[in-house]
Amino acid sequence: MEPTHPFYFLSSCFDYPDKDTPVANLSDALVLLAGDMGLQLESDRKQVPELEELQAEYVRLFINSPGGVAAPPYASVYVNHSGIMRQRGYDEAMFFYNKAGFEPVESGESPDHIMHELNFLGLLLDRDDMTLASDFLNSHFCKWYPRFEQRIISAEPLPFFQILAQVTHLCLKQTLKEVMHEQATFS
Amino acid sequence: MNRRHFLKISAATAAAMASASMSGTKGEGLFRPATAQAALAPETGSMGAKEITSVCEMCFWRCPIVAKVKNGKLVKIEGNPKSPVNGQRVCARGNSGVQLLYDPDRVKTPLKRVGARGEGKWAKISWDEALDEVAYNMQKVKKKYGPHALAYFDHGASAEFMRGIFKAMGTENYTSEPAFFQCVGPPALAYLKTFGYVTTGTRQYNDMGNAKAMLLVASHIGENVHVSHVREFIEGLENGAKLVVVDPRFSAAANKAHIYLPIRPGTDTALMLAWINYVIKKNLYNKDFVANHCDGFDTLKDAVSEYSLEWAAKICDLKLVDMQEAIELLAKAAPHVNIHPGRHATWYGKGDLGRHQSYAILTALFGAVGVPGGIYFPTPVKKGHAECAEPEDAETADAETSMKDDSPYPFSYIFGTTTRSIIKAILTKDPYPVKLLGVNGVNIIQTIPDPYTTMKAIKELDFIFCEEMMAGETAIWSDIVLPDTVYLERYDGVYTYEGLTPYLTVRQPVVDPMFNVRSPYQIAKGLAERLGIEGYSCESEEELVNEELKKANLTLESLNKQGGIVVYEGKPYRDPKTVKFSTESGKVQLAVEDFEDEDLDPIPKYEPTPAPPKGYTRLVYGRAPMHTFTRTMNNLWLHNEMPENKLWLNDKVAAKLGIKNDEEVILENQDGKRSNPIKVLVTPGIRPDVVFMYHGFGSKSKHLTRAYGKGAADGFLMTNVVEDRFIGADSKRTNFVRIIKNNRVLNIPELAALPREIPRYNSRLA
Repeated sequence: MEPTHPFYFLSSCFDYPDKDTPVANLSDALVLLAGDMGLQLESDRKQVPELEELQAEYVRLFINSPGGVAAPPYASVYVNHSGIMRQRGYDEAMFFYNKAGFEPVESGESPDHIMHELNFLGLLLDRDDMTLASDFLNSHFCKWYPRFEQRIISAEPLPFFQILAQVTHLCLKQTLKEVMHEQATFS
Repeated sequence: MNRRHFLKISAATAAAMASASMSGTKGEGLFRPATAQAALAPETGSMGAKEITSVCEMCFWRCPIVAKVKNGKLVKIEGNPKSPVNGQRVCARGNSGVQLLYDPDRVKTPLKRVGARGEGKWAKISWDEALDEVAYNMQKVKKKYGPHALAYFDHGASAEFMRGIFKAMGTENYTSEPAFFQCVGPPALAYLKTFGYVTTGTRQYNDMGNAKAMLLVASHIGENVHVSHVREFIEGLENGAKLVVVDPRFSAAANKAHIYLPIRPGTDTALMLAWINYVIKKNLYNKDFVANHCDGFDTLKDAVSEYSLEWAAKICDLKLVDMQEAIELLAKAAPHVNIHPGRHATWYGKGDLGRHQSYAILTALFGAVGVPGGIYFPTPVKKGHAECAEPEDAETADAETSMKDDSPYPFSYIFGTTTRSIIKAILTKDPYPVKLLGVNGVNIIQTIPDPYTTMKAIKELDFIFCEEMMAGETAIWSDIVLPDTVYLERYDGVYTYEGLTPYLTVRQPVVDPMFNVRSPYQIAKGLAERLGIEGYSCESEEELVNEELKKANLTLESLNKQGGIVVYEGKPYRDPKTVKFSTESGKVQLAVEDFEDEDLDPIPKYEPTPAPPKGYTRLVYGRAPMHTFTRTMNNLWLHNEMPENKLWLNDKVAAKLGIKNDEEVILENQDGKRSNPIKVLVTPGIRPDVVFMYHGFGSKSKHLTRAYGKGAADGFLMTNVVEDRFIGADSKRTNFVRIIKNNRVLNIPELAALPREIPRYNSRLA
């Protein structure tokens, strides 16, 4: 079935690329999505990165990296300004998951990881829960995401992650607009 | 069903995304329907939190704690109210365990180096890959070079299980603890040989709370914080104890002293020997105790007779009247006098053991042993041994020339293989090649002096791996990084305290582990399986802990029902008439024959420590109250309290150099090694012939986001290392610096005249 939103895909892009990851497919799809979202890309930014290069970059940006963990991918780090995990941003994420009747599967990652939050948004959109999607975006996700994006961009990442950060921003912004409009229309 | 489209996605993009997903991406499947009831709205504070008892590991003192956990989250740490040593108190570091647990800079997953050693460029790998790689390299190196080519640098609770793996591989180099070779080794041996037990090792058995007078020689309690010690120190002062502090720097403890002696660095033993001589000559010693319980008094009397207070006043740059008043004050309080045995002792190399032996001798002369206020005897606490948590067979292989048993330092074998000999063997293959290092709980770059040689050695290794919680210097030099649980996520063994108020407690997890980390026991067990090492049969840490609790007639469950701690009656004191010591003769050894048997001084001698070369000043360092070694500088709360260290510089020297408070300078040592920029604290509270900084700052690891480059690292200015003759411990106060300001090299003026008896250090550059 044709996907109605890109959030499972974006969630995949924020996962660690391992040997089973179809890097070329992800990269191609990301470039196409960027085009759909109106992002103008120079041709050299469209090149498919090598897996090893992408892995080292992922570690540098999101796990442990020269200059510090460039962009910890966790809501908690950004929401309450303390810069540490399992604080208010985590509480907020868990609150929304529970409210939607979900719980995160144990994955070795914190439930407020960007990957989880994008995936959760996809689930809300799939079930047409506009009220919760709007609330989740408005009061939580869209509040911390720009700070996270800024950290990624400041780290001068490989084009793949730069595009990913920008495309995710545009998709969230557009979706927020849509769900708020839907809410206004149907409420 | 008419599905709504939230974004305008083209057919090509949709197909490409579908293709990417169909090829095995893992974005979906991160959630399942909730099984628990929906959580309440986010709440703050610790009210209503579940309380779980455990043991702190923000430093090695290991205070009993209570963790407050709410919705699976640690929200606060307090002291265990049932603990007789700290009660509800924890120090700043203890409080900030929350920050350690939730620090986004933690090592989150096994990492494999993909750049050069020291570059810190990694790929994420699975636990199977990581353990396979470590096991493969251990076997490969053992097969090619023999078992002793494997060496282990270890420290703290995390390190114990892996030590068994190295033992089982047959290497004699299964331990080289900086806790001994870069810290407490000299006093541990001095007291062991004098009194027959380790008065000052990981634990310290000195009764400050009941002392009528105390002597601290550079022990800066209050800056150097172990909660129970600080409490006892303050209790002693509150009860009216007089305090004598000997220190070139006006420390927090000096601020509370009745007599403060700002001694010339490197001359402490001269002062101690002159005091010992004075006590003997003036009949201030405890004649009954010496006659009934000490061997070697006459030898001691002769050996120290040349050391007069007048002589010491000149050597130490102290006023005779102050020295005399201080020793009279201490003698008056005897036997309830606390000659603090000291702890971190690896200062000058050659004289370090003798300096602490002199504290022990003065203690004995005052009869301040096994009595309130003196040093006391530990009370053993019953604890079992979990054989299921170690290898079944761990026999050290023979070595043609053993680094441990044939060491030039006759007593080093007690503590393991000396750090310096392992580094030397890596570089020279003498007496045999060392090609693999395991590191656990040690910042090998900042803890071991002369990091330049250490880095050179690491580059020569076939393989190096570490177990780490934070991506510090050790991690960036490692080929494989194994992420360790922090102490709040795991069980360790049972902890017993044999001090004044003995107790038994246990560390247990207060929350589930974050990320993809594993406990030290599970890491060792995983490696044992791969290496074919029999043992490590405990399936879980609970089993291990219950094994250890059996001998105390406890289980984890029964211990938890009692508040996680059992307190026993202490028996620290002895009847002075009948006290026995665990030495061969049953008496205190004022002159240590074991030392004499090895052609070492049975009684300490004053041997001058070279003074700074012209234009330089001596670099000393100490502990900061809110930091532990190099471990905590990245911790948010502690970083906020003290983000960087400062260089203490004498105000008169600063005025001559034109340096103002808070100006930034660079230090250059006698071998031309330069520090990171460091701000200056201009103060009259330090002698003109010495500068001081807190240890642990100036991290070179870019991975420690907050700590990176903040302040200067003392270790990177230590290139002149002198080894102590008894155990081969490294000196850390034998380096000298001058100041660089605005690219101009400033020579340090000499404001305190140097007596002829003290030679200057001969520097290549100076």
